[in-house]
Amino acid sequence: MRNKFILSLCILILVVMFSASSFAAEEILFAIVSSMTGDTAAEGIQTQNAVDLALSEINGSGGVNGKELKYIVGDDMGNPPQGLILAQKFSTNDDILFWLGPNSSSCCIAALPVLQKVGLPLISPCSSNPTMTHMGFNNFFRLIVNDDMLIDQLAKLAVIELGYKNIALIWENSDYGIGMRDVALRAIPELGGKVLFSETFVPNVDRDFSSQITKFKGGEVDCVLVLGIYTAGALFLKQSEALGFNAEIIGSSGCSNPKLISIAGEASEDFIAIATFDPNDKRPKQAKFIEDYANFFKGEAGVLGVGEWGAHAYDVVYLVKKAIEMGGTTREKLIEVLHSPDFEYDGVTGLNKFDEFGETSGKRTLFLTVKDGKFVAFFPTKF
Amino acid sequence: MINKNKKNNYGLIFIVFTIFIPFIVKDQYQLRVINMVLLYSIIALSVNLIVGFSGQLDFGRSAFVGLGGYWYAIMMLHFHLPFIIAFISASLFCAFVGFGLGMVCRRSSFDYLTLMTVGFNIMCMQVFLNWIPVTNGALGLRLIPSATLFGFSFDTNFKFFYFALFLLIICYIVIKRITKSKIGRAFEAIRDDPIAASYSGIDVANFKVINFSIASFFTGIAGAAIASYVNFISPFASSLDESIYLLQMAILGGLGSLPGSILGAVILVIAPEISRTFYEYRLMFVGFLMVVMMLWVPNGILGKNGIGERVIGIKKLYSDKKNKQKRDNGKRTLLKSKNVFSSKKENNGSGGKKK
Amino acid sequence: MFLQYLINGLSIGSVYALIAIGFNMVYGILNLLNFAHGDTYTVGCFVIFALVAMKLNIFLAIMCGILVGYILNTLVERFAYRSVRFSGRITPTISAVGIAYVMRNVVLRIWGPETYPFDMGIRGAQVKFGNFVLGTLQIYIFIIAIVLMLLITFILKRSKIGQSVTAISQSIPISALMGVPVNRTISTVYGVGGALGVIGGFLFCIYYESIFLGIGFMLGTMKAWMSSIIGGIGSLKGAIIGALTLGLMESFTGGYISSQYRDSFVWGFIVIFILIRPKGLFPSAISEKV
Repeated sequence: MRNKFILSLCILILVVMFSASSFAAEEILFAIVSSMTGDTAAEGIQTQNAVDLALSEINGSGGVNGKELKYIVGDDMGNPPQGLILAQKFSTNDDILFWLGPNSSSCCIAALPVLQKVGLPLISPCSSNPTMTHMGFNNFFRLIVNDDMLIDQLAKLAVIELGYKNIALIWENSDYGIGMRDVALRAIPELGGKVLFSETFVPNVDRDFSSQITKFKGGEVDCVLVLGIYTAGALFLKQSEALGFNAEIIGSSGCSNPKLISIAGEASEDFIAIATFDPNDKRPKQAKFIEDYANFFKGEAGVLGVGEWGAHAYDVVYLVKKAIEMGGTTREKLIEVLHSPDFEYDGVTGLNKFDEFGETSGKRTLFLTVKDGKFVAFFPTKF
Repeated sequence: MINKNKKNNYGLIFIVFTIFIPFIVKDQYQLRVINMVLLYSIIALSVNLIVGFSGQLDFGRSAFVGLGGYWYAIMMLHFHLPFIIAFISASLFCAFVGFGLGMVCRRSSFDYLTLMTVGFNIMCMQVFLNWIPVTNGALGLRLIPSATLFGFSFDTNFKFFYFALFLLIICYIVIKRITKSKIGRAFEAIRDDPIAASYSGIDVANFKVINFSIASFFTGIAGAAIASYVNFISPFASSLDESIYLLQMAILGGLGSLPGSILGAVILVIAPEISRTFYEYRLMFVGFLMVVMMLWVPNGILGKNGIGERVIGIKKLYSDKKNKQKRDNGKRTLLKSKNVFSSKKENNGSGGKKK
Repeated sequence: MFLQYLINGLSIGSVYALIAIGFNMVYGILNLLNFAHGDTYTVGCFVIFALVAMKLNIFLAIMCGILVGYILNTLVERFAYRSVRFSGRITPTISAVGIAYVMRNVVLRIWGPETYPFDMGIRGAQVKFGNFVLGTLQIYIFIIAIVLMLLITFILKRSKIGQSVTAISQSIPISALMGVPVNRTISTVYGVGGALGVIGGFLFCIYYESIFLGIGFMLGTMKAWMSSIIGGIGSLKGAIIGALTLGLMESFTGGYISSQYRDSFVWGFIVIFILIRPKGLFPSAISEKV
């Protein structure tokens, strides 16, 4: 029938329309895959910006082993099926040396099996789900301290440093939140505290925490751990104040974004969050990075100060540069160099070393508290 | 009679042609996209069955895709059932859930039904996200085994292509038979005028339930096939946005036209892969397409009075005009009655294309 | 705690009610689901947000936002609905879905998916009754919802335009024959529905002191639908009662049963409700086809 003929013609045309990509041999190509659009677009954009900054510095001073570093971008929209499609797409491109991977753990998990088949290393700046390094992927590396350690520290802050025993959890209903909740449920009783309530909310949708706050108020909770992103943290702070709930509120690293202060306003005073990067760090290397980032993007609309995403991505680029110079010029060699116990890179996020699972070690975490509308760093004294 | 033979010829040519695709296309990524096109065509066909043939607006298809996929994954991963049983049971499970959904909505009006399908979609996604012991929540299920029949495993793109093509052909033939049968005519009657249909003795509520069950069966087949191919399933694939995208595949190709659904799937699966702009803005494009098409071409490309037919119609009109002039040149002096006869014949011959 | 849950439920329910009124008004007249309802008022609220950020006087900004909502909804009606008014049910609904997605993505492109602080200088005071807290803002919203409903019902019954609207809801061709300016009236109704939506959305943002993209579909259109399923589509009374019921259901389910499965339970209740009473609590008088 004519319709079927048109149909087959269309298929033929579309199949022929695919074009192959090509690049020069004087370049080292890698892929940046992150959520450039969608709910978590801020992460992807900051990641790409930081990579641009790093590339301008590296390529401007001779490149890596004389070759220029270039990247192609994949947008997974924070959606794991899209991440898988991108993995399929990029795995057939033999020129790609490594993936500067997604921050979303579920997107990483979607892509890793495909990448492992072709031996492509995935280096994630900020994917923090603790289970990822134990899934048997030898090509996975991450720079950020994982949630196990972060929430462990947070629990210690609540119970040991601040002395609270009746704790409530409020966690976002996603892989991020659930991972953190599991760690908290294990760690707090071990330290001698009690988890009275464990409530959840839908990230990026739920605005109303009044029922959870009401529950906490009625149960004599003296400390709440907010395990989610800054949006939820800010709203929780505001509504707690409105409902007269006076417990101490501390948050996970997703809440360490300065935007939390701008949304929550005065309600954010004395809020504490654990962080992997201090946006006002005064140490020479970090301060220079923060200033360079601001100057590089001066005047560009919507580019705010750099945070943990950008800092970790910046370190990934420099770290890989060092690894390539130490012999990691192909995919397998790169994986080998990164796994080797002598490999370390001291970057803006601290000392980066990988164990045999791709987990990072040797980093310190810090706590930020809001004083007079700004985040100020402090370090615990009792642990 | 001659028309029918032509139809079969074109159909055969098409199938023979597509059998050679994996030999022509060597790039694994492109072959993979083509495999996804085949599987999404099955989903588009099932959407067409509900929306195009029965006139019910269903925004919950992606939930059924997810249901089929998760059932298959759980059967294979936790219970280690053989492939065939897991696969067929996934489709039956989806049909059963479709039956349930139909039963809840059987007496609902058009709008309530639409709202309920939206609610169902959202509820399914919530279940997938929250029922962690079974579905592993947001992290999804990995390492789902591929399709294996009698020890032969369809784990490469090349082998899977034939499996998917086989599924598509079977589904297409079955759905076509359904639409041409008594059930299909009942569906179309319900779409065109439910009150008249009920007066003609068609139990509208029951047929709605049948409709949902049958269409969900096919969606389940596609869902399980996708899970076996991609070896991974995530709850985010069952979102409302995905449902709208699937709906648009059927609409673009033409509601009520089966080849149209396949064409819609071809276009909407391949376009985001080709053009990065399309990929980023795809929901906006789909929205825009919906509005534009509803205003001017509500029946899509290959539907009745769709773009395809209008183009063909214009061509035919033009060629008929030319032929008529040629023939009439020698017969201008003949009686009017002869012209009446000749114009009648022309009308019958050049009427709208029937499927 | 029961009383606090009750208060919370009623207050969130009143916010939903404001949005549901605009939605039900349009549905009651033309029997068409306005998918784009949430997204028009999202645009309106973001316009208010942008204008205030540019230091415009707040009342002027609100007027502009309402005007934008009105105009946008009339445009939606003009382009997506009018031409397909008589083409069955599927075509206009899909058209609406299309426009909703376009609007949502435009807002996404301009403002992004983030949450912005929405500080309009309007703050409610907190009233404490022992252990319970009630915001005056919540009381205002509740009162505004009731007042609006009464106002609209009054206008529909007594004024000339109200009668035109009732006539159109019964039969468009005959109203046209009787000299009712059909197109103009329908545009007005859509516009007012949009304006009401903007008011609702604005109060919603004030209540939570934040604005983001999701107030449109997820929190607006979806909740309006759910309230309509409970209360009966097309009836204004039903919109309010349905919205309040929905707010209460959410509050109690979240508090007493589980916050994780709250949405599933709420939908479960709605399904049971549909099985018992398919047309909602206050079914509209329009005859439905099956």
